[in-house]
Amino acid sequence: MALLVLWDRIRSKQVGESIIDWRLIRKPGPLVEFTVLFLATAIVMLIAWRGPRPWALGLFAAVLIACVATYLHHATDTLKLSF
Amino acid sequence: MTQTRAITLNALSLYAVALVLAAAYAAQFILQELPCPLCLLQRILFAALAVGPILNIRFGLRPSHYAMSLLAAMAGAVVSTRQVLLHIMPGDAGYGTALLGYHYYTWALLGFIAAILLLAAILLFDRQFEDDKAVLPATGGAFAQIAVWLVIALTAANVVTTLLECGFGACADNPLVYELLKHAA
Repeated sequence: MALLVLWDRIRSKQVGESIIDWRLIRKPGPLVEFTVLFLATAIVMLIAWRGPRPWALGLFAAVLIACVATYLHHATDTLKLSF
Repeated sequence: MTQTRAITLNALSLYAVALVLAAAYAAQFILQELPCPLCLLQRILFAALAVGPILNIRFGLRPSHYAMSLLAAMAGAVVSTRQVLLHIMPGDAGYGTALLGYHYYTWALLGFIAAILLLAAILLFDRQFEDDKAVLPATGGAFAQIAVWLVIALTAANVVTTLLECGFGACADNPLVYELLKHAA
């Protein structure tokens, strides 16, 4: 779907027009947490595969703590339980 | 359990993680269902499960590597349990399409519980941690190397698709469009 949308943007764009809405990039919000977490996890995997073991262990701990922090950040909504 | 067999099981577990990440992509691209923030967090924790097996293949089998995957699986189980509870009310249709009667977060919870059980089971085999003089291929051989790069590639692909979906702001609770691909108003 993303690729189809991207292809549609590329086909329909005018000369000199960007396919990305750069206004979103010029006004970044404070939360790109999921992208950063995926990126950090990929980096931990690469270090685990190619780099020193202590670095992989330390970065893994940092990513896990960041995941827990992100979860707690999003866990403030009221749970709609049935009891 | 011999070291060779344990390394093979670790490589298989990486293929299992790759399968989960690919199935999530199938739902995203074929059914056109964008993952919610909790869904993304579950994906990240599935990917984090793979770090332990990668370390086992690269540096040799150690209980600490299995413990890392256990911690990731426990965190994933907590997150998916929360999402199950969010949709537990009678009459709640749940988030996304149900697959074989269960929504993705329910399958994710079952997956994380299965990972915890399997990790505990493999830790029962002490002999894998002893040097059995087996001549193991460097970095696990082609079977393991393909598994490692497959998981890394799928995780890296998620960096791109998550950026396209969420943009540079907070990810929508119920995302319907790719934020970065929206036409400028």
